[in-house]
Amino acid sequence: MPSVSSVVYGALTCPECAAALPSQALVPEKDELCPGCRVPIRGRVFRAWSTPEPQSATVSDRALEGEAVCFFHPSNRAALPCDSCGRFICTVCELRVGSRHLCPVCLGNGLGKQKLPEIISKRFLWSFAAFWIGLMPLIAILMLWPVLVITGASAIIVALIGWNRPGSLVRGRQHWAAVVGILLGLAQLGVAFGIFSIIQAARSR
Amino acid sequence: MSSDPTPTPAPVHHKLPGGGVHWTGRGKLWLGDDHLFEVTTLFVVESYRRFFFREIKALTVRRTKARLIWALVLGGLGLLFALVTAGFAWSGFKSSAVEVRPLMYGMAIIFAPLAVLCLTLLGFNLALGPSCRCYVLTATGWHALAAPSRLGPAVQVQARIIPIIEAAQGGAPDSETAAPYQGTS
Repeated sequence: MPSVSSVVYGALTCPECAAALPSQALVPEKDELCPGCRVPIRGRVFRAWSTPEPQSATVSDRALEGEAVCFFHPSNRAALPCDSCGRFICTVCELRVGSRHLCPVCLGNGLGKQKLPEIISKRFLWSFAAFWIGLMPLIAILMLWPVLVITGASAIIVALIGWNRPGSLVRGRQHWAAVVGILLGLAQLGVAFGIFSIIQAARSR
Repeated sequence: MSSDPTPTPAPVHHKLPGGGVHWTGRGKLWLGDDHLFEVTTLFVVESYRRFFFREIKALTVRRTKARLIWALVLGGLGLLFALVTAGFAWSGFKSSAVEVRPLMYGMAIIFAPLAVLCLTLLGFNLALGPSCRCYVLTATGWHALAAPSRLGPAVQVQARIIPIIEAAQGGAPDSETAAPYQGTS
């Protein structure tokens, strides 16, 4: 979901009507009326509100004789090791991903192969694709029975393709949905061939 | 030394109370070790947003009229279906033509489950409590969360995450640091 309004610095604003909230308006235990939209609102302001944004480093300290240096900038003093590969990096190279500090190479590799769970913003749930492909045609069985051959086979194929693919970040692979998808796919094939057999038998009479 | 990043173990998330349904999908909040994790599921696609504790400037829970609107819609439909059911049943009961009775009773049997469904959903809607929308303020502005959409779970979520956010930011804001965000209305 996109952000709904911009921040007006200097005054905390209502997220919907952007009216400035009165002093001490945000209390987690009690509703207060927004002066603009007159809607009860409660909450909490944290220390980060009044803390200035940390400026990203553009200039790093020059390394002195005998000091550890950045892997990518040999003239810069190393600030910390990369949490992934362990290479020393300076403040220019340091990239913060969640609570980890990565070097540009590790972040680039992580972006490319989606190895870093912190940067994944979307996942296709293969097991649920199999589940829905298995279920939906059975609901509309009377109208769609010839399509059951395609969708039934698709449900099984999708379930098998997605069996080892990464699943939900919070719920894991959820193989149960894929298994149900396979069973529903087999059911579709059974129903389709059953209807086909009945029609053939009726025609042959 | 390999240039590949070490594959990190999947982060552990703990489910937070409450959920929400919007046109963007079904929302749920999870608690990560250093962030609030919003998961929105739309059929076969899960979308994720992370709000890191140290970057959250404010949290708000704003009441909405969703509960009232749903109550009016479901109550109206439930009442309508109940009246239609009663009308068909009464017509069947009073009808002198024997061949009309099954039709009337059949129509009553069709509409009765719809009335029961609407009134059951109305009961659930009322039992879930007042509706609300949660927002998180970060450096990029206010972000509406997909969950929780009811006040009870929203208050529980707040009670659980406020101490965690304050701990991540080095404590609660004192009156001096609070000054910049106090409005002037």
